[in-house]
Amino acid sequence: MEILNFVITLLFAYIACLGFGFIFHIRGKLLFITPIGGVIIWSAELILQGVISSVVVRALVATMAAAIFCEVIARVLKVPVTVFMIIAILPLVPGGGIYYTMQACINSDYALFVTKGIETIGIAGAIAVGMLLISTFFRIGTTIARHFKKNKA
Amino acid sequence: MNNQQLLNIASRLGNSMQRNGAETFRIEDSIARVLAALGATDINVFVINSCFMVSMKADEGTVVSEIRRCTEKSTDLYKIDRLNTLCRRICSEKMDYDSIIAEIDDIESKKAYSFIVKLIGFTIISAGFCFLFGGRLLELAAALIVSVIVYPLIYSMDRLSTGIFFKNIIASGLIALLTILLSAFLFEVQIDTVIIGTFMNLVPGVALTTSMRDIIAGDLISGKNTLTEALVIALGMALGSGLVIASLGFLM
Repeated sequence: MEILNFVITLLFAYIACLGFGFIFHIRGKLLFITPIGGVIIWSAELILQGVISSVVVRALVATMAAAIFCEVIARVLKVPVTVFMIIAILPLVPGGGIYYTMQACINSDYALFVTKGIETIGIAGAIAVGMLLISTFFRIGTTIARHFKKNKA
Repeated sequence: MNNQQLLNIASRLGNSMQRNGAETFRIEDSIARVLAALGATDINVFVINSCFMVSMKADEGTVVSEIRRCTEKSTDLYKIDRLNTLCRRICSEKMDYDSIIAEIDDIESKKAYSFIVKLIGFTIISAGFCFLFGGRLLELAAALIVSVIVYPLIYSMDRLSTGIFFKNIIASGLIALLTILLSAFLFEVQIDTVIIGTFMNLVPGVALTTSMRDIIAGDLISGKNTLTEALVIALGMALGSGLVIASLGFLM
């Protein structure tokens, strides 16, 4: 039952990310490949829920997992990384965080307002840092690979 | 290829990439590579969010330059992909001026997805995320209804280029308003789930990604500007829905 639930959830994640493909005008086979990044980020988020208690750290790890997928598949298919990255990270962008922060502000619950606000900024920052780390590693990797190729030739 | 032709290729490619939402470093890098492959020297390309500048020394040793403003921006990942492939092709094989321009024309003439397709996209995003955030059948139905009403408004505001702040205030306000009314008068739903699910259409994910990729590449000016855009979008969303929820709180 648990497995079935998990699969259904991932199916919905795939469908939701497919929707972004329509909004951002992705065509052809890419339309069906890009949502996989979103599925990866969401499944990482779900699996890690039992392991990592901090929402921010979880967002960081999940983003890194998705970013690795994006960088690899972009190099395989020779497509700009952004195409995959934009779709992949969208499920994690804290829409809920923005909403709950606003709600706490309206309810004059300033302790919750600050907590939620910081958490939202933290998640956004974690996504940013996750992408930054992985992309930088891949950049360094390609630069080194290019350097060796040049030396060989 | 003469100076004007080189300049024309550079500025059209650059402008097209910028209009469809490519990152700053990608534009600078691709245009510089393309011009180098076509035989220009002393190439300088400088790109910030709304402006594209290129200067180079072409065959006769004269320096030519061009500036192009880019005021309208959207995200068209298909065109970015095609333009990127075109740049790679120009670099790897000898293409003549006419075939390059024809290819750019072909890419630019490609129509965006129609309103209906985008509407479907918008609704499945809302419904999908509504489910992911814990919504069930009723919430999914509510998210569908809300999106079908809200999307035409967002679409027309995009067409009228009302600006992101206003657009997000109105759109998120309407989402909150419709959800609350629906829940109060039609069938009861978890209001939070429906609103957040539909919110996922508005969240500044693209701005966040683009700005971070710019910052990674060292284009701090563009990165900072796009990050501000992300903040403005988030603020607009909070403001719009906040206003509605604060005034209609008694219905919740």
